[in-house]
Amino acid sequence: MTHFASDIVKLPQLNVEKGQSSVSGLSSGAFMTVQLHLAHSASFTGAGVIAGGPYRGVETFRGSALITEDAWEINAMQLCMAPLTPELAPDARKSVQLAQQTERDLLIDPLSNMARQRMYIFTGSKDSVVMSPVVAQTREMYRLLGVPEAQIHYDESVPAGHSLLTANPEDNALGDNKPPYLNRGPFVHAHAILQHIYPDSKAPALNPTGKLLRFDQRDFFDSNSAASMSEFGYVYIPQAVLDGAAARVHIAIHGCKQGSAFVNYSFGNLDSQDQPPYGMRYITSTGYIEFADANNLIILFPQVTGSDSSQTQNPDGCWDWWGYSSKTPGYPDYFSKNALQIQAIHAMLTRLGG
Amino acid sequence: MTAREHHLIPALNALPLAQHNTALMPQPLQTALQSWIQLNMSAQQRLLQTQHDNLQAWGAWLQRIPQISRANTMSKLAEQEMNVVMSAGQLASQQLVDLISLQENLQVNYSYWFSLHNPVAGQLSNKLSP
Repeated sequence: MTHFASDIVKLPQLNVEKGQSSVSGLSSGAFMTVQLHLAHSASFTGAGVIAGGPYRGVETFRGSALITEDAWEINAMQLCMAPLTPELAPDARKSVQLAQQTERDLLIDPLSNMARQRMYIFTGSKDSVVMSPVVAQTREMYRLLGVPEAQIHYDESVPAGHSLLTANPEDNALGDNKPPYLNRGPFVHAHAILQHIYPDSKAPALNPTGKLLRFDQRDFFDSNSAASMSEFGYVYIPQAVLDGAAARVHIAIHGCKQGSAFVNYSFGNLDSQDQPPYGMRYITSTGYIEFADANNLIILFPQVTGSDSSQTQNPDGCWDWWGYSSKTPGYPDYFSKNALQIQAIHAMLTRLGG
Repeated sequence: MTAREHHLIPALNALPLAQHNTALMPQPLQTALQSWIQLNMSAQQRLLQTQHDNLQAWGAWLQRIPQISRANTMSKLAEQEMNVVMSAGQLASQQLVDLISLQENLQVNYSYWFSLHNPVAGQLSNKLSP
């Protein structure tokens, strides 16, 4: 049985194999997965993208508004999620050009690291939130960036709504497109992602025996409210790793409204009368922990929360993939090593030893 | 076939005819015309889906009204009546927000389509800073 104590710990340094980490996410977590993966590809060996679009897709159409900041946000909400035809989805070729330009500016790791990456990319055929033509461009982008076809697992065959697939009877029906965006599937996404990235893995443990720890995330973003990150993050460490065994780190990034501290905004006000509606479900019920326990994987669960001020407009508690956390919204930096949230997550990975 | 799909029949029937009529056009024009038809069909489908969802939501709201008579106390009756009134307001405001979002969706998709198929429009949008 996993042990979850009530204390707040300092994120520990462990015996982690460098360059063997991986990352996965759903929706805004998937957009963040792509950004983090490209920014720090030297640290990673693979990634899982569930319903996420290509790198810097919000820069598809500058003409959508007069002000750049508005244009990127409207592109995020419309062309990057619900293009009317496949032709209007963000173009993978443009994402590749932007990635190459960012590499030249030394703002991301060398793209030559892409050749060794293993990618799991999924889109549900009933997803009405981030539609399949957008995710198809993510696959194409990785192919153009040099990930060999044999290392890309692309699945568009399941009639799933916008969700991470689980095996829990409490979760939504397969085709649903509604919070908490956890749907009952024919397989468990977390297992499929990790099995593809680490093909030598064992079957998930039935009774995990490691520790789920709570740590203060504010150390990693200097308590800057523009980061829209929660007070606490979580990490699962298998017992063998706590005892000194070599480990690899997987970063599991939740989607909008799925953060452990997320509370709905009702008529523009924080619904502080209620507790977080979904709480720890993304952490404890999605299958990451069971797989990690059997395979000496540390699972890092960074957390964002909602905020709806004039400084940070993020009422749904999404990761930043259009620029809300940038100091200069006209020239946003949400995609490079210098981006607030990417810096914070990578600092957590470095602290763990990855 | 659903009522929503039934509305699409004229557009679907027009597609092969349009494809036949465009056979003699230059290739770029043919591609643009087929893409234009696809864009319009998709927009129509999105509008019909919104209408369908809105009607379904109001149907569910109407079903709440008969529940009011089952209240046992005056305070509970007042609470239930207010809940029904307030939820109608909430539903109407949410549908208005959804409608504005749909309008933004159509506006951006159509303008992007024009910029892709009209080089002058594309160049203009690229001149915006940065």
